Amino acid sequence: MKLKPLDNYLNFMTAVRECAGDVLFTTEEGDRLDLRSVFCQYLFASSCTDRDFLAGGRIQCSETADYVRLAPYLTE
Amino acid sequence: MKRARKDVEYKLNDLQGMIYAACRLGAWCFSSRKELFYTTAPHQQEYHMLLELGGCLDAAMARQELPGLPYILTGGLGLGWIAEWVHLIQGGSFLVILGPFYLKNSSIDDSLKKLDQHGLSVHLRQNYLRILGDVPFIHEDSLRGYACMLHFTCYEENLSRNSIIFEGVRAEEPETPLRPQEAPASENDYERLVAHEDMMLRCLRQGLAPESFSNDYQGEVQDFYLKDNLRQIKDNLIIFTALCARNAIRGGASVPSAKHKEGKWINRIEHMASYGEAGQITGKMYEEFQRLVLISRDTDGLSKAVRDCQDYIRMNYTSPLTTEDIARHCGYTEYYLTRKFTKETGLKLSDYIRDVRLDAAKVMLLTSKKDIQRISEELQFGSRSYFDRVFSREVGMSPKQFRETRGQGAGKENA
Repeated sequence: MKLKPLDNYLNFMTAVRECAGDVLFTTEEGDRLDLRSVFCQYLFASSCTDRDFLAGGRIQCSETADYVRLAPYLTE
Repeated sequence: MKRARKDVEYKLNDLQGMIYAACRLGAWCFSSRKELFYTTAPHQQEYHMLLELGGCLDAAMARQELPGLPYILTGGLGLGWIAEWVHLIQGGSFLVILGPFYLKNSSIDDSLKKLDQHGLSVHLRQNYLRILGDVPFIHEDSLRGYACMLHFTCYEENLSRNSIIFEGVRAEEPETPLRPQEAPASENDYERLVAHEDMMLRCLRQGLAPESFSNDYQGEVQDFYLKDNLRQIKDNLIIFTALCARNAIRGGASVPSAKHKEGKWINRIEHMASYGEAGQITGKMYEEFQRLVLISRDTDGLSKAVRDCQDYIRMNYTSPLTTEDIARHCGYTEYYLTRKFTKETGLKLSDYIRDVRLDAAKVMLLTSKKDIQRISEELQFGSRSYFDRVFSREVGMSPKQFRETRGQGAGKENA
């Protein structure tokens, strides 16, 4: 799943923090950010205005239910 | 204790301006429902996320009902914020936050170490350093002073510096590797690569031809960089190209020739489509710089004929120039002058003319409002499409993009 283009990714990150399992953001360049860790959250935050970079990444959830929680922010 | 809104807002405005000017510390103002009213901080979205994700905004919000006092809150990665609630006579309250800042001078170094440990891509690293690199480090004593000033601005009450409360908001959890599928390059690999680069650059300065070094190095480039991604290979090669150019200049190559080669190879590297091209490009690029150094050793500077030729081109680049005309003007045969010119400068005469015209085009694009068609005609490029093609190939962007990005859109064309 890919991230939808959003004006602000704060709500997305808030939703990630409520997820039960791990949420991985994999970039086109091979970086894998575990969005549950603070360091990775900071890395993600520092790229949150880099639209092309975010648009090229993919979101993977370890728990299927988390896809439902993040559905408003995801697209195929 | 409560204050009138207009009194506080007026004074806060002054304080925010002063603190930002003094130490680049941004100010934030939130409603009691976490809505951001305004901020003076740069990178608003990014810092807002850091404030929220570090848990400091929630920690500050939780203090809404307490009497107004400033707190210094520190979140993840050593980032801190000063927060204080302002309670209003008219009812309601708002939260003022100053930040972000680093409490420890070593915090940014710690972040850099983490970036290195995780072997992140250059793109991600650059974004991170661009944002976090603008966060100021502020000594604890100064922070206490700013917190006292904030409190005085809000409530006209003096606090002692020692009464300021520090609070760590959120302990950092252990982290999983970010690129587990890739083993990090060993230090030995890296050290060997750097040692080879040093040796090649030393040889380049002396105009030597280290064939075996060069071949070994190409192999090592492949071995080392193949563990990495294409973007990183390109970045590393671009750096190596710039180093070659500098060392060639130190070895005696002329600055324009070396810079021209540097630009040409960087452009070529940028357009590299696969890992496989890296070794070949390194070898050819190195040879060209080596040739420049050798040429400079053969001649002691440029001959009068070549200098005259260059002067003539610089003075007449807006006229149609042919090598025949130039040779006639300089008093040589076309065959002799073109060969001599290439031997001394490392450039073809036609390439030199093109470079002079491109330099003039850049100046015209940035300093005039002439449309691009007119610039291409004045500089004898023949057609707009040819001008676009040559400019894009040599500069890496179209004339229009160049004008918009470098000139900040100041001289938008009307074409």
